[in-house]
Amino acid sequence: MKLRYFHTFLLLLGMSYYAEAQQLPDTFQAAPWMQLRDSANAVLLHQIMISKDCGDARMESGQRPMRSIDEYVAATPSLSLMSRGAFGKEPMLRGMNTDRLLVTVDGMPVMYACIGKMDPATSYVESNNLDRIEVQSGGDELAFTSSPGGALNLKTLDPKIGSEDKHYGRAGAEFQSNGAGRNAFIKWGRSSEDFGVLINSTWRARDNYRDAKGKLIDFSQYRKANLAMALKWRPGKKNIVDADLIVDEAWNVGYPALPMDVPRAGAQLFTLEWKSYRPRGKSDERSLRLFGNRVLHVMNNYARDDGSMRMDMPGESAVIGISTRIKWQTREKETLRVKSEWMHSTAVASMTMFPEGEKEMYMLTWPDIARESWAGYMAYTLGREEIEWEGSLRLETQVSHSRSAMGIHQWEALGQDISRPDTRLLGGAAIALRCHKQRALSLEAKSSANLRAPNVSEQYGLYIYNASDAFVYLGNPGLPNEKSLQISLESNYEKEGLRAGAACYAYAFRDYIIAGIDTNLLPLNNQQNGVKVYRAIKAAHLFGGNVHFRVQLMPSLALMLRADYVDARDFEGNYLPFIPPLKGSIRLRYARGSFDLSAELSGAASQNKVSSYNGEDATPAYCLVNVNAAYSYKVLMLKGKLLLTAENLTNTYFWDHLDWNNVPRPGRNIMLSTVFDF
Amino acid sequence: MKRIAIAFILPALLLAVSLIGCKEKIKSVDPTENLISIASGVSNGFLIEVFSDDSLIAGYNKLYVRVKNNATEEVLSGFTITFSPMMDMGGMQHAAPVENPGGSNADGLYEGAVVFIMPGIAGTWTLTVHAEDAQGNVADIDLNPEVRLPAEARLLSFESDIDSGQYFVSLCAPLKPEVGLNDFELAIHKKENMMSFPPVDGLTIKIEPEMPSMGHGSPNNENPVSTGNGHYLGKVNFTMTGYWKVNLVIMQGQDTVKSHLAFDITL
Repeated sequence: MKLRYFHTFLLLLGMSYYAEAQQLPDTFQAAPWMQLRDSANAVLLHQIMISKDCGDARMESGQRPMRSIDEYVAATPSLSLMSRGAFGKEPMLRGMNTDRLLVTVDGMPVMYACIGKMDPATSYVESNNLDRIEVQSGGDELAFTSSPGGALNLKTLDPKIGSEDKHYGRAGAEFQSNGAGRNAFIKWGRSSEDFGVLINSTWRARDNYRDAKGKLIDFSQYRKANLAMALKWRPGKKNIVDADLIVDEAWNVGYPALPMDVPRAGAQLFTLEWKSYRPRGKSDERSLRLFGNRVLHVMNNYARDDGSMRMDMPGESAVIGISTRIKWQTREKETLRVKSEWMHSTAVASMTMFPEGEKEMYMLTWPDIARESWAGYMAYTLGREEIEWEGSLRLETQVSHSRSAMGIHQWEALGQDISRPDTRLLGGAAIALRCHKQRALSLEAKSSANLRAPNVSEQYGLYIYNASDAFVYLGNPGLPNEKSLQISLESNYEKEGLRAGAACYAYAFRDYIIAGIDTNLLPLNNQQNGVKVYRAIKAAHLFGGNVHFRVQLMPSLALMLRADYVDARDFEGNYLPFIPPLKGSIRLRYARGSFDLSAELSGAASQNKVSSYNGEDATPAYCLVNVNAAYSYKVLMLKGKLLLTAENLTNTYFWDHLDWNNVPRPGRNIMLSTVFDF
Repeated sequence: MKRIAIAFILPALLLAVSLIGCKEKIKSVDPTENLISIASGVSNGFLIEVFSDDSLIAGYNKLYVRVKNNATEEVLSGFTITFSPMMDMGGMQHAAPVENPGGSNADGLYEGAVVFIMPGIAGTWTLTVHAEDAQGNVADIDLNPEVRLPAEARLLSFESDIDSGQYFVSLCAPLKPEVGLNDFELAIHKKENMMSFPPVDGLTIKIEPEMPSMGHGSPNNENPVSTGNGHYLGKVNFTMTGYWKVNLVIMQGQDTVKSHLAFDITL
């Protein structure tokens, strides 16, 4: 139990965010199953689950219930978003995008199916079905991936069990003035002693929004529906079976920063897990999980009347896998965790162009790559009075090959033989030291070394167009693994309404994978600037940090502050592309009785540390004012909330540095939302 | 619980196996299985069969001849085969470039080629196949083959910018172009007189594929180099399907025989 509290005070980094995430399931928090779930997931989640204990869930419950996952990610320290439009923004952790960051749903890797990364896994899950977002970095990611950028796990809501037979539900709706955003959700659950079910459905629609100057941003619309079903079954006192299914469909999605739109993007995800645990005493646990997902992404330029040739760029990816986890408490303060995983993934994407009066032109852009990996992970935790050590090790073999004769020929024509499978040994090792003083102050030092394999685009991509620098990108089948060494320090303090934390980190890369211009190759048409080929540069480094602070000024008034900074350069001192600028926010919150009011200033400094080699330009600073008012009501049996929110209240014209092609963000947006429980 | 675990693992393993599994192809035995029969005829007790890869076109056609004993059906080797194509246009007659087979291959087929320098529209082609063995046994058959104009020209004829001599450049490969690297083979003949079209070696050829509707070419092409008997072999790279134009420049030493030549290839 002491260990548990110990964790509580560690890793408070990002707490302000986690606290916000907690408000999602707050009405579903029921003690017995919570305990169960947490202990059963502790192998993976021991860090983040801690935030459950902080009791901030209710305090932050004045936020809009229909915030998207992107909005949550944007408000989390260390995380930022690369944007190509109003939908499907790409998460970045510590300045590293999904080339190095793995996004998982309930621990299951979900690959995007778009060669342009327009559909990260975060776009296929809905926030009102989300329990929390777990950020694993600095070596903790080794349980999921060898990649140094970390892992972002979207933990979906579990149905509750263990209470008397009853139904529960919640519904909400929201209207946004800018772009006529219409969002709605409904969820319904039923719980009994040994059985629980939860069904969750979300709809989102938005038309083209207007920027602060009143200009309509064409192709910024989207439509989306999501259905999630979860079953929990306790067949015996020591066993739990979980089944999750998510079906997500998006359609009529515009991307104002790109020359193409998405008429359809769909994903189907499932996991089936059996867990065995000890209800009392030693927290030994075992679990076996079967998972799979399939993502289909249809992209074309039919809606654009810019005179360019009609073009189709569909992509499809799939993952299937099995993993087992064992947690074994060898002694009172010693824990061994072992995980093994087998995974098979595929990725295929093509491009078809339709010139008038001629035969269509077709080529593969992801030449049907199948990847099979075996991974083993082991972590040993050794606790003492005020100190805890943890060492972890991951070993992974990955075999990739192309299943397409045409794809092999396409690569042969570029002088590369990809007919033979490419086998790589990956993995990493990490060590962490945590200490705490009187439960209020904690300190953590972590170091890790990672070996990352190039992703499908980096290794096998063929003429993938990048609308940001207007180059076409070629993979490089012979790329070496990227090596990285990381060190990070985190410190947190919490006492009597004051919570403060700071973290800093540094990464050194060898054979850093980045695309470089190849002047010997010609692009596909004269609107493109040229061809870039992925290569491993000698070295690169990255460092950054963040601070967060929260003080309860009065029983009903809280002040929150956070700031984030990253800097990344290659070995010659050139800036790496798309690194977020200094960002921060300050928020004042007043909650009393039925009212919950907050005002926020959030913004970013100008970013002049840009990579002009990658067609990147400087971005001016901006500062936004957001206000939020919530009123809780209870009418008869109905308990609900009414919220009025204004984002960008001062109607500031801006775009973020990570927004492609400087497409302006929405101007003032007034949102009215309501949510009620039944 | 173990049963449940097994129930999860088994279907997953089955799926994995089905993903990994592959099919094996059985190799064909009949050497003419993938060929088209053009004609056959009996002469002097010998059955002469003529095959080609595809229906005959204006351009380079590979022909395969099989000689059998008409009575025993035994495939015979040791014959010398000679092709004599003749175009009869009423008022005039002309021959065409030929490549006579050297001998029979392991399958008993005699491989040669005829370049029909025009389609059978303005007149009628006659192809005489003459077979003769060391013992003096002779067999002759005359065919009247249909020679069509292919959708995309596989033969270019022009007058040399150097000496006004008439050249015939025929595209031998790729027959079935695919995305990726393809063999690019030309056969070049020059008209000496109406009856003689000898092969021309020693020319320098430059190729440059382009996609006119996109305005791009492709990397890693190899200019065809002379391999003898009028043939030139190189590589052409098609990076995608669609309409390609392979531009040609033909040089003799420093002098340009002809430029602005192109084969259209749609794949």
